[in-house]
Amino acid sequence: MAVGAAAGVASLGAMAGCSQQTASPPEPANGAQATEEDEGGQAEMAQEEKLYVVDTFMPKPGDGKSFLDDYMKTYRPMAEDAGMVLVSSTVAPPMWLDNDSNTVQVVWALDDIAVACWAMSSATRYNPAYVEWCAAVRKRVVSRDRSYFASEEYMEVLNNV
Amino acid sequence: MFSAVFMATFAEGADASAKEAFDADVKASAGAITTVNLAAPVLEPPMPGGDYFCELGFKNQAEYDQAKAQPSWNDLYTLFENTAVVAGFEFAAYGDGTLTLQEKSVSKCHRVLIFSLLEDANPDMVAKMEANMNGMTEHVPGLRNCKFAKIVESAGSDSWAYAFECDFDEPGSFLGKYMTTPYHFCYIDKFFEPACNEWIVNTNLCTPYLAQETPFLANYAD
Repeated sequence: MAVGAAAGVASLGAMAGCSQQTASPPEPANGAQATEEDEGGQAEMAQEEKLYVVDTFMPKPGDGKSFLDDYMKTYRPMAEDAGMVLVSSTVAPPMWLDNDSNTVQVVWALDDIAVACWAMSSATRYNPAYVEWCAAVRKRVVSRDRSYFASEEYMEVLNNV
Repeated sequence: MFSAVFMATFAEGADASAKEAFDADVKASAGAITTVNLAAPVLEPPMPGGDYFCELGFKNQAEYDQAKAQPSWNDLYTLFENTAVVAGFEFAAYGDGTLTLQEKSVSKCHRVLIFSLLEDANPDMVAKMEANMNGMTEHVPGLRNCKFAKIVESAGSDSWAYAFECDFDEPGSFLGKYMTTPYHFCYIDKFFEPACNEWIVNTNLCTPYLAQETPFLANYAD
């Protein structure tokens, strides 16, 4: 039986589910009925109402491709199982360097802070394999950063819930 | 104020009457030690950290040390060691830290987060966390009081390092705005997330919350 700190943590996701965002998307500026153009604009707005999780790594010289392969093979399944949606994976410069570090950037999307983000963290950070992989990456790369981005429009929603 | 906190998980075989008796016994024993105490089952939905919470408040560590020398302390501690009712418990004692005190009269929800640090926690990140935790009050109006303190005594499943103690106006502020403000997930939680460079906190944290009527952190306040 899980005791104390090791007790079930799915409740974090369930707890997060107790809160709801009440802000609604802004009305079309002229109040007109939706047209094809409006629907495209609203679709664009809906796309912007995401939280983007941006992982940026600087692997050691020559380790760029191997690191990205490992990220996709090991980390990606865990992230997707936790609800993250892969948006892009890019490398700078766009060639593998043998004697210097590449910069690898992977962008994910989550639907919202209230439910999706906390459900993601509950599903990952209590998984020993996830923690072990992250701890190993800390030692493997020259630098790493994870930051959370949102559009300026979505910021208005996020900060006024 | 110096606090001593117990976070207990009930044994599987403990039935409702055993849990009620435990609650009554803990309240009585805590009261025999100090009138500044808060003991009750945690609220639903539960958070990591067990089923039952008990906090004792002392004016300072000297008073706490004196209390520990009394038989009444042993009476309380023994209750938490009763494996017929309690499968296990965490204990943490801590004193002054960074205190934000905005409300002295009414608070319906108390919460204490305890956690340990990674063995190789970056000292700069630890300092950054210490400097920014109490900033939660600026983004969560319902978080009325909070204190971030180093733990000086601990027992249980880990060597607990820090306590972040909170008085909310109501449980809904903890479950709602506290969790949805970007300041929490997108900034403070980076210290707790293994995928972040800021990661310094072990994932086995405890964060129970329970009902109260008055803000616990206002005890002994000037």
